[in-house]
Amino acid sequence: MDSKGTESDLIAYLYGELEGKEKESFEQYLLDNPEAREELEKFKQLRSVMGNVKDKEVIAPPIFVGDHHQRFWNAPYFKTVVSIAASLLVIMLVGKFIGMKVKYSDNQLSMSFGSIVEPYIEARQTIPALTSAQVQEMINTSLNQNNIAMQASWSETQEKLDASVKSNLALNSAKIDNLVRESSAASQEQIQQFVSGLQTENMQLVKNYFQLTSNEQKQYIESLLVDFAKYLQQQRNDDLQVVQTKLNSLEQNTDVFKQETEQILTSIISTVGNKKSLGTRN
Amino acid sequence: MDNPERQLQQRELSDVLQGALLELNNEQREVVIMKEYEGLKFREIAEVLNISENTVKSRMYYGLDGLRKILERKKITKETIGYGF
Repeated sequence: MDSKGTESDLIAYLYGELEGKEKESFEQYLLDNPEAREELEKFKQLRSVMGNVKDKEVIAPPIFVGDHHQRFWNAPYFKTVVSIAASLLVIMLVGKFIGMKVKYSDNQLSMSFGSIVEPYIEARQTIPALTSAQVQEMINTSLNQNNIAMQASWSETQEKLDASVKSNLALNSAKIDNLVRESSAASQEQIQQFVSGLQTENMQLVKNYFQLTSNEQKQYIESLLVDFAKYLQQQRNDDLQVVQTKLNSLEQNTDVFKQETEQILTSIISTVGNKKSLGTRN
Repeated sequence: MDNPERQLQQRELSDVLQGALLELNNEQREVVIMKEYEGLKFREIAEVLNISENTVKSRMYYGLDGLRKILERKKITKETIGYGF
């Protein structure tokens, strides 16, 4: 067991937080090491000293002696009140001696040492001032002047604005009219052109188509006729050849037949001759 | 109620212990106070201080060791405080 581990285990054992196998092995270690036992004992003593004090401290109230038998002038509230009263008294006495005067009137708090100085408001009242009627008159005249000037400038600007608006409107409407006219004329012409172009194109197309198709048909029919003629010719030639061969074969056949009949005749003739000669002999 | 002599002794001892605790460094003192006077487990102290449990035990060991040496220097032992009144 290394020293760090021993320290940790010793502390854990001291506070009863070692359990199971660890506890058993540490107890065995204690049995084997009297030094460790001694150290543990010292820690236990220390804890008992600390615990002793701790217990007593917890049991004892925070203020040690005579808490319940406190005199009322030692109470903190009483002390505070008395100290405030004393300081107020001192202030009053000092104020009395140096002749301080405090006055509160018309929402003003004034403090002074010695004689009271009159506030400056009275001085202001003695200054000769314009009467309210005069002031009103001045205000009225200036207002009138201002109004006239304003009116003039307003009407001027109004006229200018009107004029400019009118001219702008006229210009714009003329421009728009022109534009509309131009566009309508242009569009009509364009449509006519377009339509006529379309018609001519269509006509051309149809013509071309018909021409093409008629040419093709002509060519086709011509070729067809030529082919048919060729075919007829061929057929005729073939037929002629067939007839020729038939005639040839018929000719050959008749020849053969002639020869055969001749032979037969000759044989008949010979047999007949023989019989006659035989009959004559007999 | 304790007698006055005992009370005086307690106060003196308490002062001495407080002085001894103040002589420890901050790390050891906080661990000793949390363990000895607030009764937390080492695991809880480790969580609160965000350090390992072994570090807590090590600090406790050296804290207690330091306290013991300080008290020995001041001649405070089990016998001198008259334990068992």
